[in-house]
Amino acid sequence: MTGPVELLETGLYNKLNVAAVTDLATGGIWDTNAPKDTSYPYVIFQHSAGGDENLTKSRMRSVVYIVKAVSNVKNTAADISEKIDDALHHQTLTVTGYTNFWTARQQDFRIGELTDNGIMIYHVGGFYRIRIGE
Amino acid sequence: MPTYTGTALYLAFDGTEIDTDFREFSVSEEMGIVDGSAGADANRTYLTTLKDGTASGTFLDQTGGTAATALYNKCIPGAEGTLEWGPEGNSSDDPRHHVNAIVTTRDMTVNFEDVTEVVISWQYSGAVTDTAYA
Repeated sequence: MTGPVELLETGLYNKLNVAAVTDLATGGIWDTNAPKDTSYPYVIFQHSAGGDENLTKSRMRSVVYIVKAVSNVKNTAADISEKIDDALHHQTLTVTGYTNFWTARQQDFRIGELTDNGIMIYHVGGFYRIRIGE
Repeated sequence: MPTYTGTALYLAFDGTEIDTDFREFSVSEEMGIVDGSAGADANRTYLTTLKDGTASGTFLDQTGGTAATALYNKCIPGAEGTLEWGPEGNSSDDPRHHVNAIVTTRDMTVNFEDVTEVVISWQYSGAVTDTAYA
């Protein structure tokens, strides 16, 4: 049986795996980490915080995901980040068995990662709060 | 006997179970008294008059629904019926309380960034029966 964590991540993936995002993020959409040697640019989503709310008898979860573009070109990362935002901020995820009643960007995220061979890799995106209930 | 939380609460009004999305439920009962002291009495004494009571519940509102399925639509101020609650659930031998009650207030708070809450208040209109589930 698939639990709410996997169901939500499936909904998140499906929301990101659209032409508006993948036309730019040609390296694909990946959970937590991209496989080694994945070509830039790509998108990563990763659980950052949160879990069950335990507000009522109905199961309700409130989680935060980092969703970011990863690219060796700064502007490309920024452009993809905007497409991520279009796909997620105040949008509704389809999560089997649950209702997604809140999806919104909470904070911005931006870091630069210098590789061993001196190339700067840009990570640009945001923290998104996602709430679902039965 | 161990303490317990509200996870098992059984709550029904006018024959409809309404505990699925409750967050808090409380009851308050009182006995009216009159001062029966007089003359050379050194201490006040009291006589009992009438019992009274109220109940209140906080719930998460759900989208859609009719009077038969939605708490908000069912608990119109003035609606009268049996209010029944089992703090430990409604399994055999669990404590069961019920009273005829009238909805006196129905409040809704809609938040942009949070779930919508409904608060219902009841006024007892009759005697409470304290028993146990068969």
